[in-house]
Amino acid sequence: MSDHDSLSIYDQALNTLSELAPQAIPPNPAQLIIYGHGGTLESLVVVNLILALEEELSSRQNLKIDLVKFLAQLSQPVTLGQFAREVEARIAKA
Amino acid sequence: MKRADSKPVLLYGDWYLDSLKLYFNKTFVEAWGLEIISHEFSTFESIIHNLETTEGRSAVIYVDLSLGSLTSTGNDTLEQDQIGERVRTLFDTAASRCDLFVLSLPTLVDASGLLSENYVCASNTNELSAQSRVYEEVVQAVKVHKNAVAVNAQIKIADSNLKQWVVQKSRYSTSELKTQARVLERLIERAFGKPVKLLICDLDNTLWGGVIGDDGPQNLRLGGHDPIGEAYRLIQVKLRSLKDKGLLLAVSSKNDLATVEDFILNSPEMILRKDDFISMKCNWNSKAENIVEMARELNLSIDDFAFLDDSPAERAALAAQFPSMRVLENDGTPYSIFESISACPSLHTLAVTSEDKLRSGFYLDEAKRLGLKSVAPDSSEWVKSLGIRATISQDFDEDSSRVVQLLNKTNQFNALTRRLTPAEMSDWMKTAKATCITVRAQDRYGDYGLIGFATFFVENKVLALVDFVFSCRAMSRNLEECLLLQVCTAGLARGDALGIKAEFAETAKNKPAKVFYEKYGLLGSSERASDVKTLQCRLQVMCKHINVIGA
Repeated sequence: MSDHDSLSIYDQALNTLSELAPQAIPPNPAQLIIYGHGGTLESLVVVNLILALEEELSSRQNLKIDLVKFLAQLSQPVTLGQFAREVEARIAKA
Repeated sequence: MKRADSKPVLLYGDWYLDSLKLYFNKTFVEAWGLEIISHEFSTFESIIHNLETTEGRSAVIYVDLSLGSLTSTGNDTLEQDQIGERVRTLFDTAASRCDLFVLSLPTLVDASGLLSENYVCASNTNELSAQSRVYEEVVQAVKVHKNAVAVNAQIKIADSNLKQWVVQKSRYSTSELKTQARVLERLIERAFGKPVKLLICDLDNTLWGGVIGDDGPQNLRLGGHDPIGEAYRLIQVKLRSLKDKGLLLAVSSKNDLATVEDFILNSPEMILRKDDFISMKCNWNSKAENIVEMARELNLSIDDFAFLDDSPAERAALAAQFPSMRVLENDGTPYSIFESISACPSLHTLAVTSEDKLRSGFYLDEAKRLGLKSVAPDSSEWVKSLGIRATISQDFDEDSSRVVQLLNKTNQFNALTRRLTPAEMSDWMKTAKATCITVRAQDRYGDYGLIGFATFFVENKVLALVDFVFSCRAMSRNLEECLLLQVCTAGLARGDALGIKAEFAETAKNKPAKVFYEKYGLLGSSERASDVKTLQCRLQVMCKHINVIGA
């Protein structure tokens, strides 16, 4: 599966990140490590990114997913692309 | 890195403010040169008290206050008088250390609708009175301090998002943080941005629903038991309220003038009446032509205009033709038109002066004055026929709001075109030991309000004129001469001013000031002073038809 197969979550995450920390987005945002070793985002940006995504999923798609817990369970480090794919997979299962 | 010209914005509240900082629009922050600094509320008092000496003044201080913030553990019981005293001291100090003081005071309740114990004093019996007391202080702060505004006084369910609290230390959701950031950005624009002077409105499907020429006046949707009609009515209520605060309104509409005037006069649902508009161009000319003509007739710059129209084609055409004019974007529905008015910060001035309230009436009076001018034999006779009375004052503290407003809004008759905040102006007046002379005027047709001011100081027997600012709407009736005469008289009254010199900074727009300075030998006078006594005699002749009070 390519990064762009999970376009909606990926786009939502990228939009939020563009708002919170545009300077932190590299030329290939899918490869940006958002959590774990090698990550460059401020922890506060990560927290706000995850909570904003949770809120979007809840309000627009009525999906209640604990992304904070979910992120911590993923093998580290986690890129933005991987994270979006995993969330998509989780939604598909639900 | 801090820019040399950065404007500090201080945010105080709970830990969530670090998150709030992230939600500011980065382009906005860059464009306005903002440096956003967040502090926990516990450090508020010490930082605020040291601000003047350690960090300089702040552009904005934003305080998000919960009663829990005022107690060290969140469980202390504070007497309401103690709370009131502490809050008042904080507010007074903060308001004196910044140009815009924003108070946010959400009422926190738990999910059952009761005042939340997490955020207010432990004793339930004290909660309500303590909360009321803080509200009283907020109202008082907004009344007393001209730079203070209160926002966000809504009820907030404090327990609705425990996870947000434990993960982010925020009682606000991310969408609420975004809203708070947008509110603050708009307030910053309102406080420090260039205000719109004139809003030009279309009529059909903009101020009422339907097309008057096609549908007929009786079939227009305005007011009544109709959501669309009610929405258009509320647009008019909103515009009327802005007009009462000093925004000028005009109409440019492709319509027959007699049909429109008849409807405006006779419809019981109309909120806006003919006298609410200083110009009504209902014709078949292009809107661009109408706008150029309005600018000429009213002696205003198109940069000071905004345009409201439901038609995307008209908006696009005018935006392309006049890039400096603000065009209010909307999707053509009355709801979106209403929102576009509410969301445009430049239409909503924060400090409303008595001159703002008089402005619209002034332009209507002016039409009568110009009618008289067309039959007067010459300019001098016209001025004489107006019966002008000028009131002179040297009370800067009393007039500071209007003086600073004039300084920042006036382009054409402004010798230096320097832009200062009220605090900067006040500081400069003290440092330079300057005097500020203001002029108000009235004539047989009405009140012009405070229309000009000059600042000066006397040094080494030379009167140094610094600002000379005059409202373009009152030019050419010798009132500018009257103001300069009062400056000369005040300088001579000090006993030691022999000469007068003035600085002048030319801009693309201040030609009227340049012509005036040239006429009275002030241009280039920063190098060699003119004789103040000679100038005074010359000005006395020019002002012979003006009755001066309080000189």
